[in-house]
Amino acid sequence: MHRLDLFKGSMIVFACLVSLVLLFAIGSLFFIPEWSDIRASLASEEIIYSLGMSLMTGIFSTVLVMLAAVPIAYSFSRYSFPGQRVVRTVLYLPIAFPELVLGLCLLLFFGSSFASTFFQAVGLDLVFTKKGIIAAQFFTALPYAVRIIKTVFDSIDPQLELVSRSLGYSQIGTFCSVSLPLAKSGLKAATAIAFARCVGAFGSVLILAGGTRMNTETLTIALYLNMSYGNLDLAITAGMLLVIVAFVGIYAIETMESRSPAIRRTT
Amino acid sequence: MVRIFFIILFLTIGTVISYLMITNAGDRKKRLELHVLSGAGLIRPMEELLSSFEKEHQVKTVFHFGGSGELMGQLAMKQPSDIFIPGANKYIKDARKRGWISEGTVRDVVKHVPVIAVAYDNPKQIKTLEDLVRPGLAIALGDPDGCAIGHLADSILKKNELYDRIQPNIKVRTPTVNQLLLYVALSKVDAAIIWEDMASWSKSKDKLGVIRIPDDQNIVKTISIAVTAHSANRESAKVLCDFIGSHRGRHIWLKWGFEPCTD
Repeated sequence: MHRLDLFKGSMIVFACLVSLVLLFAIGSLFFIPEWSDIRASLASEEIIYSLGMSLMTGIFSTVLVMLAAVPIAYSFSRYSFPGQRVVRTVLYLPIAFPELVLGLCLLLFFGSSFASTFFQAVGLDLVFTKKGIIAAQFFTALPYAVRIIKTVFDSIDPQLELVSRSLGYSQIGTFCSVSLPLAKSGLKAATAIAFARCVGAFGSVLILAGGTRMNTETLTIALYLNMSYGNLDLAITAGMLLVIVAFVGIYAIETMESRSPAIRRTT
Repeated sequence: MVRIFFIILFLTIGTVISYLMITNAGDRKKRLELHVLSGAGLIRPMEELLSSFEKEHQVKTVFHFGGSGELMGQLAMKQPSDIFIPGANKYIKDARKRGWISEGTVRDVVKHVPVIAVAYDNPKQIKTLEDLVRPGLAIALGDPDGCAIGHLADSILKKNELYDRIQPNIKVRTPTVNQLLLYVALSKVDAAIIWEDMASWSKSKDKLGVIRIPDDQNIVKTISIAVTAHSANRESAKVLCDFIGSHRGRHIWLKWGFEPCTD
């Protein structure tokens, strides 16, 4: 019994220690600067512009990510088809490789004559544009959303869907009134993570959208640009805003996780 | 249980070894370290210069390459640095005004010449600076605050009264010059104004074409080097500065497409 307590205790102390270091690191972002400088930066045109840009593109991308992620995740979870593992691996790839590489791939693809003629024909000019920001964010966040939603669908008993079918619901009806409501908390968590990833996307946005000031400038780009001008106040302010957005996103997930046992398995 | 123990042991040993490798704590004799802040555009010659300097002197050089503005930020934050060599000596002047440069150590090293870089086979037939304002072209320029070449490109365009007319053609303004090179080499834009030396590496690899800007239209910059005010090893830093500006150093600069200063 004594040994078990020691074990338990050291685990908890370790978790607290690591998070304490991180807390100090993040805290220094908030406590080192002069508040008057931060207030001035918050009112600056550049921060207001980039915050607006981040929120607008972030929300738009998140909606697109969720619209795409739900069917993808459902097909991964419910159906087996030849080559599914390969498809899944390809889709999850952006989680593992650097965003800069993703940005380069997207630039090469969307900038190629074949793809650009096609996308421009449907009104999507993605290189160096605001639409490009959304495209970059979409591919950065999509794999995270798909992973979470797939796990949630996995945890839902297919029997429930079968019962619904046997009671006369169509496939679509079952999906909308049984599967989706059961996955509700997971969908919320995926939305929060997707939004945080979209707003936090940097490398892919920089390369595909170019990172032009006051044009394709999101908060992460503002942070980078101002760090590279030596304009630390603005950089730190952008950093703070990003931390706040991330905190709200992650906190929302943690709250939902504690409410729903279904997605406890996702982490 | 035993297996878990071994896994943890393994991870710990791995972490310690990689830590030692990263920090070079394994070096038996701790060598003097010189920190060099270098403009991102100077990466090729600087790497060669520093490695040949390391071989001759018992000194280890740690270099950081970045946009000149970014380097200024590092000076401002008093990060360890001994030598500062930005893409244009405007930054040396600024740093000197703020007292970040050790007086009497500034020396000119090479010329930095802006050119027009175009896609390899120049499909849009760009021949002169005036061609850049032709409607329908896609031009990339550096951010005027982010990198030396961005600021300079604006000055050149203003000098030739093209600045207002080129605005509709500017598709992107990048924080570093390297991003400009990427976009031209991949034909994502028709032209960009970049440094001659950078263009010449890629030209030799058939990635892009170079169009020189006539002297009367161009603004040529000088690259200067200086020892920083808070350098911990001022004497050794001075020796490295002298080496970079020396006759042998010039040889290396020439090899990478830079024109040495005549003094």
